[in-house]
Amino acid sequence: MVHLDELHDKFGTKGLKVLAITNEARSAVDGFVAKTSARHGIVIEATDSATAFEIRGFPTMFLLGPDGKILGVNPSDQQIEQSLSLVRIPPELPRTLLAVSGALKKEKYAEARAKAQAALDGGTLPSDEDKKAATDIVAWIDWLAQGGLDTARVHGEKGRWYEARLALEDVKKSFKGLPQSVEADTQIKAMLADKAKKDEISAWERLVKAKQAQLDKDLKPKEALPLFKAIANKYDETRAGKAAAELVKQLEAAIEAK
Amino acid sequence: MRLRALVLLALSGLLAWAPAPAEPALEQGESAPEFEGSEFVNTEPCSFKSLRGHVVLVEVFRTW
Repeated sequence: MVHLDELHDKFGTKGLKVLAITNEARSAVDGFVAKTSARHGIVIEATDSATAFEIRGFPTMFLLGPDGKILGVNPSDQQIEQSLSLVRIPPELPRTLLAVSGALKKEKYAEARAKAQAALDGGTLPSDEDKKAATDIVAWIDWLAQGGLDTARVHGEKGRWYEARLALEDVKKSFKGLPQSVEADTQIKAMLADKAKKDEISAWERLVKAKQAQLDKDLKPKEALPLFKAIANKYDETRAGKAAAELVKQLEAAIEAK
Repeated sequence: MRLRALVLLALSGLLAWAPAPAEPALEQGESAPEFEGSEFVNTEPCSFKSLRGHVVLVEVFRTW
């Protein structure tokens, strides 16, 4: 943790954000901060990143690039420093672009882009610096939208159609009104027109719902078994079907052990 | 947002249960799973999405 503060101090001005994440109680975190004098950001989460990141032990560090993709696990200081050349922070916006800032804070990217573009087209920006900020923010929003499409493409190349669809839905919603949103919508429709991909997506959706029901209702193995068995049988050729079959095995083993 | 985070969490758990994958479920080049912060210490409320453009060093830790 001391090392995280050092990294925060050393590279924070160059675009590095340092976050520590735990799902422990606030009192435990407050005690920890009092003991270590940690100055970097700490997130207390409602979910569990340890599971989501599939980590094997604590602590585990991940270095994320400007597009949110994982650059490395437990990176060296050298790797962190080298990655800073990738930083692509949105430009500081002047007062003349206050409306753009407001839209960005609400993650209304299409609105922010439209306002910046309108300011450029309308010739209302008084200085070259302001014009540059408007031009840069338009480019940044386009880059962000393209990043979402790229994420979907990477998932698709690996046959992860459920994840690809989630990424596309995010682009479609976040950038509504921009060409990237239209492109995302087109890709979603094409994906769903393909039976194999649609089956994979449907299977994952059912699997996620089944898992959610198991968690929400605290189902016992015997109660949860039929949910996963149905998915394993119906979608046996899909990744989700195979994952469901594995769950069935685990549940049957748990039932037998009782 | 909460539902989305829960679904993603459930999905990541399911990925972990998938039969012996050829490659790790999470690897270099993949998008980091979003977290859902309920409280923030020493920082403004944020998400991985809101930090796009920065390089982010994230440590998953426990206080014990």
